[in-house]
Amino acid sequence: MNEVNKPRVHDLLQIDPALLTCGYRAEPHWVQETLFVCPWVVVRRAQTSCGHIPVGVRGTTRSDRWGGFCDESQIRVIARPGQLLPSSGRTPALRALQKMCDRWAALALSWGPAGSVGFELATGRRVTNEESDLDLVVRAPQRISFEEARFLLDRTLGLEAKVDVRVETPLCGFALEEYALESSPRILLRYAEGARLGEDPWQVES
Amino acid sequence: MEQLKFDYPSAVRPVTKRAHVGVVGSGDMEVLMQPSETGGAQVSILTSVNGFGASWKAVMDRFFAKYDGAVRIDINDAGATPGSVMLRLEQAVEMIAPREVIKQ
Repeated sequence: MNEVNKPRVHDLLQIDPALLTCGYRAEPHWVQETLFVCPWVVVRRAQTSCGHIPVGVRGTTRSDRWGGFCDESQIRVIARPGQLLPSSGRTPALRALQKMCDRWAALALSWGPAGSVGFELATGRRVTNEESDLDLVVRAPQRISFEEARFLLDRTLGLEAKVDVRVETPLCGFALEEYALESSPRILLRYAEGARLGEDPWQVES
Repeated sequence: MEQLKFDYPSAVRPVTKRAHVGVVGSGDMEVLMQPSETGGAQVSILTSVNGFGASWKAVMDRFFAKYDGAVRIDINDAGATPGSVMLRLEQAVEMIAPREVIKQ
């Protein structure tokens, strides 16, 4: 699998569930039952070795989340946030995505829905509800200025559902809101090896 | 939704500033840290994930084992991990007292 097709954090993978290996805790009974009905997992942020991909399984309740690993050979389909198209306006979060497609129509960066909205659009499983937020992911290989970040953030406000934007650089992920508001010198940066406070999400720290 | 409250009466060193850090997004939280009105420290947590009272108490105990400011802490949580909770608290302390560092 070449670099371009490699699964990245927030991507959804349709997998062969039989071969999913255990993560950091024993597999609860609902994991295989869930994957049997809907064999989709989301790529997590975690350190791995030997081509293993850290993935999360979404159960029916909010606390039903499980982290495991899968192998590249198990992947049947990769659905990226940037490939997912808005569908029906069944819930406030899905309707908010329709609005965001207009508001961010000119955005040159790759972006799309993650979380429950992304999962519903990729799999068809109705996981969003009236209370769901709209989680969005923006891929930012190059630096985004604070001005550009504020411009993007301003256009997420005033919708039916709260819009929560995660920016992913080649190194780490962070919350658009925290970066755009510049209210603290250091912000929370999420790396594969764990989260830490830092100043520059695009800078390799020594 | 679950509301949790903890008190740390021995955290009595006066603080004067307030800080608001973090965001209420998936797996994250916001924290408002301000001077306590009663002396001692009080923590109030509103979390979207039920059933983690013991984990919250463990994290807050660990924080107040190293920090003695008389603060009132309000947390609005959307499923932050214990590691992220500690970083958010550390970040808030940085804002109200830039020279203080919480030892890991």
